[in-house]
Amino acid sequence: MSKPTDGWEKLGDRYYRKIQLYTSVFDEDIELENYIISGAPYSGALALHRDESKIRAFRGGDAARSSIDIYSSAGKLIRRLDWDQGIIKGLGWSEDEKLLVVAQDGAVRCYSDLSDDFTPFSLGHEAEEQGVVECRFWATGFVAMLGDNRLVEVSNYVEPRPRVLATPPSDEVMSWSIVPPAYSLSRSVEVLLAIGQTINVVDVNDSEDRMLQNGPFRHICVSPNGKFVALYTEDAKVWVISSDFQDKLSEYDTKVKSVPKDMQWCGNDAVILAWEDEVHLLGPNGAATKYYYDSWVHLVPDVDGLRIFTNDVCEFVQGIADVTEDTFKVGSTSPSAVLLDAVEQLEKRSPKADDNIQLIKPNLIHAVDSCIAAAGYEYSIHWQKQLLKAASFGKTVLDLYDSDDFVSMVESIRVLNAVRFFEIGLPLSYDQYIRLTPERLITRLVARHEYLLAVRLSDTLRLPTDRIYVHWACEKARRAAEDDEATARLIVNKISTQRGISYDEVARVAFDEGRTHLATQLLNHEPLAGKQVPLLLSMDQGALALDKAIESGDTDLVLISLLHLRQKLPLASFFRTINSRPVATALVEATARADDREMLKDLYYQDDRRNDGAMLLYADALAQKDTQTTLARLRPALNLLQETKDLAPQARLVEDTAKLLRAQEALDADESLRPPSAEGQEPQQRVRFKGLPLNETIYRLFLMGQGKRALKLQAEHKMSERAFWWLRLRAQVAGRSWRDLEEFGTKTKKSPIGWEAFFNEVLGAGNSKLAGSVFVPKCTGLTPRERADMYLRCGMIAKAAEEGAKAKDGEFLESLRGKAQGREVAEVERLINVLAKGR
Amino acid sequence: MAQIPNLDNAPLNFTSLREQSQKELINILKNNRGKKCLIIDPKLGGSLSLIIQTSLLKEHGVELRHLSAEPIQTDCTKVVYLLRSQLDLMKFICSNVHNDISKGLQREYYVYFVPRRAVACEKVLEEENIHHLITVGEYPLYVVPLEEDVLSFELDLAYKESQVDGDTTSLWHIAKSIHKLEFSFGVVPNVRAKGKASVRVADILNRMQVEEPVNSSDMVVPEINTLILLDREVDMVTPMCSQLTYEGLLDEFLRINNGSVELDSSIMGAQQDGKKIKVPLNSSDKLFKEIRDLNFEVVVQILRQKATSMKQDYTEMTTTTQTVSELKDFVRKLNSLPEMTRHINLAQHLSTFTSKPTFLGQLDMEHTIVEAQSYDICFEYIEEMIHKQEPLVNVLRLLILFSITNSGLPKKHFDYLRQG
Repeated sequence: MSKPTDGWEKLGDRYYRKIQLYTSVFDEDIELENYIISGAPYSGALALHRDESKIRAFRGGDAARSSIDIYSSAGKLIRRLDWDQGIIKGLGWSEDEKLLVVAQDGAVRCYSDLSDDFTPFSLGHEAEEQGVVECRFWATGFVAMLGDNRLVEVSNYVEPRPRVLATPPSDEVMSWSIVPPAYSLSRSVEVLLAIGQTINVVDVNDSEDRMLQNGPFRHICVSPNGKFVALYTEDAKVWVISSDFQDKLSEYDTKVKSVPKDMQWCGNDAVILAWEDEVHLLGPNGAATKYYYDSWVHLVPDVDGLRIFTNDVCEFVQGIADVTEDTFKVGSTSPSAVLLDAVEQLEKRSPKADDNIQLIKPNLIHAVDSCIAAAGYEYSIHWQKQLLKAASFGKTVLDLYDSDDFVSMVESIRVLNAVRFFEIGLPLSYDQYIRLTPERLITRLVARHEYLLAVRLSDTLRLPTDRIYVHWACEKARRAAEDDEATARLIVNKISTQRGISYDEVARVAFDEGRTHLATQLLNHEPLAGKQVPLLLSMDQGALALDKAIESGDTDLVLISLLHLRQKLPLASFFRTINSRPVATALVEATARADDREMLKDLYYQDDRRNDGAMLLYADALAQKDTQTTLARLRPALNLLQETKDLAPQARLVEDTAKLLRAQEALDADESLRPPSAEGQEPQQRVRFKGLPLNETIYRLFLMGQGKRALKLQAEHKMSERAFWWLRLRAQVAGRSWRDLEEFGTKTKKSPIGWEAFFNEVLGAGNSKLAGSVFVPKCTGLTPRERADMYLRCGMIAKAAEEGAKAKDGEFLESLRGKAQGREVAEVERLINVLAKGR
Repeated sequence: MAQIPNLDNAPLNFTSLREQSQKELINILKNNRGKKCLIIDPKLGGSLSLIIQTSLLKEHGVELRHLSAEPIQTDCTKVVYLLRSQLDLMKFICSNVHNDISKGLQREYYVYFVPRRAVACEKVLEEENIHHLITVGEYPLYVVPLEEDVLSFELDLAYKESQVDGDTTSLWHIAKSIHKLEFSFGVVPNVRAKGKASVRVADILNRMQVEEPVNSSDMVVPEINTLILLDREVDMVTPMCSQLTYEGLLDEFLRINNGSVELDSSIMGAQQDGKKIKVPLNSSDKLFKEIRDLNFEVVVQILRQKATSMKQDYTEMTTTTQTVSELKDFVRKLNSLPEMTRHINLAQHLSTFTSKPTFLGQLDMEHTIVEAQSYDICFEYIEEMIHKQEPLVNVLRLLILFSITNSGLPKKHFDYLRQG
């Protein structure tokens, strides 16, 4: 059994290790020295592209075709992307494993999901003119350097907006690097350009010379956390300085004549230099160690370490975590080391196990925690187990221990071991896994079409699996060789077992692939109408979309469908489509009423809805300002209504309206009706008759004292006597025309509305005298008792008493006693007496 | 007293619903940094007043305006519209924006639709060629807690829209609101519906539960056991009759809107005349809670009784010597004095309406109609109302009541009334 400390190197006070992850990575045919290699963060995929600037043997037509090959860390070819867009000047990855390819002319392609689907965008005019020279990438963006040293930044790939940074000096750039926005002081990207002796720092606003004298720097590299900068000087020294250029932290003399081909950070405290087949690892304070290889070496930096690739091996170099060091360091007496030893003793059935436990008893919790943590950092399954055993042994001794960390670590380790397996080729370190998050790990697996593993891991980690199924189904829809029916069945069978899966995405893929039938089949299973409808519409299945929308009850969806149909179909067939669907028709009507009345008229006409059509015309006509226009527009409404007998009442209404309007126009034109303006006052605003109802018109005429005209109108419109009387009465009361009323009351014998109405209205207006003296006596139809009450309400006690006597209501008379005043008292008394005698 | 009702005693956690809505609104304001002019459609403003205090909005750098066609008067470069997704409101935005353009003002416009975006509305903006100037968002306000046992969908035209226009948007809205509630209170196991529209709501709700299942695992017992949906159509008689409870009468004569009535300050005994004041009416007011659902006549008695007992206490106070605890009791009673005054003022104002003969006549007639006693008397009464040019709403209410209780009017009479 190998020791856990194998491959450890002590640099200064820190330990480093190099772990062999995979062997026989690349095919011998691939001459790595002729390739550009770029690796996705968090041990992601590698993109290899033949370096066009290097000479190569001519191998006939096929091999000459340019391509970008995507490999796993274990050297498994995941995808080959054809490339025909000219010379590649930038090849990089985003943290969500999007591959960015920048061509010389500034055209960028963003390949997502490790597939050949890409979204293109351009770096803009300047890039096209000057050409892109080189690119530097960070987690979510990149900076491209143009031919004239100008820099273009793209800070996200969702909505890429290229932005030109401040213009740097145009002298030759020896080397350059970037500080990602997350780690710069200004929170926007900063670019370090080694020009001449010094370094220029460029951001959006300006380009600043840092006034260094030790250049020229052949390599410049910023640490992953943006705090340090490593510089390689002309005289073969490596300097590590703080990124604010204030402190020089260490210096190392390589003593090698040739300039290294690459310099990268390994974590945040070590720098790695690479020549063709030699690698120097520089720890803090200038301590260093060297590794030698048989073949060409490529460096792929990551957040907490660095991957080294040769044709044969893939290795991971990282600083050793403190817990690991404490636990495994030779001669360590830390609690975790003792605990680990205790387990070994236990396996040997040695009583020393218990001694060990007793020894660290006070620190046992710490020991268990450390063992668990150390297990996470371990790549060897044996030592993982050993550490976990130690932890669980320690736990048994403790009275109280929260095992959550233990359980989640066991889960994490299982996941890590599964994805590190060479067929998957994702050699994540524990830190990378935590930073990547399990969700994004699943996404990566899905992109590699490792569906089974993705589902299993999701189940273990209790993560949703729907995206995995959807991705799988999309792939099937894209590539399945079976016919549409069979594919649909296959897909539905598989994903119908899952809850809450949306079919629309799959259907859209199928549709984009030209498999319309499959798309429709799948859509039928989509539960969300909100997703069904838009897709159906884009598939030109308007009527079906409309039905689905109606079914869902979501009127907004119905409207979307209707708008679509309205644009696509000729009006007549549009009407036919909605005709059989009342909900749709109603919505069309409701919206058309607000903004498209012409269409509504057509709709009513086509549907033979004469009444509705006529009412629409009617309303339109009335909305006109000019009476003549209104009259003209009433014509068609009337014609429409006269077509059938059923609508006769409505027709009559329209006719009446026209008649009334004509009369009102005449009234409005009549100067004599202008209200006389009182002296010294503004002339009163003339009230127009037009548009008033008949009732109101007549009422106003009465108010103006135009009884004759009112009468004429009444005759013309055959208004009932009663209505007419009421209007006159109310107008007269409102106008306080008491004398007219009195005269009218005394002269007229019969009233169609009875005289009580007169009494009530007059009394209500406050004229109790008139009400009592004129109108009560006219109410001959009422009983004396009722009349008595009426008199009482007018305050005419004597009269009330008289009527009360007629009604022979003694009690009532008694009640009057208190109310009577003056002469009335005697009268009331007299009547009471009369009544009493009468008994 | 605040207009925002106190929800502490609600059977469900309405406070959290309200806080949620509050938070969402504030997030909208926070997302658009800096000073901004918030333009609210007036109807929505009423609903919002039950959710959030104006002062809280002002804290987030908001200048408050009501939506109108008038040009926006503000120095802010950001204009946030908050409005219901209704077509007729769009023209205001259009005129606002066009006005700014013609003046050469450059502003950022944000339009938040309540409760969600509508294609029809956005189409208007597109047709007016201003859609590209506007950032569109949603403010998902579906329900407003009106009272500790009442949530309102704030759909005042729903009946007309669905019955007359056939526009069923409101049904979807209701289902969506209930579905949203289910996310807070668990899936309602029993749903009962009466009437066509209610059944449709239940259907849509069912569909939504399939489309967007409420995660029921973390909710062991649903807090709502049964949902009963009723169509208004089931009983058209009640709304046509006059309301006779205290609260009902307040509504009939003064119109309760968003839990408050607006009236002349002179009625409430304030000095300055002609100024309108808002009087909040909700169960946070203990006295109102006690009397809101009682017949108005009873309310008057209770108020009188209370006033008398208070007076009695007061006289006792002045005459005899009291212990401290008795003093305390008395002072506590005094605390309810403002409430007493408020309701006495209101009741007094109401009684000026209720004592009118027309009102009493109308009540009589409602009775006669409901008891279906004499067709002719009722018909004549309504006819007379028309002749007297009484307010159309009153006439229609009686007419509808009359029509319902007689299972429709004879065609002859209907045509006759139409003609009149």
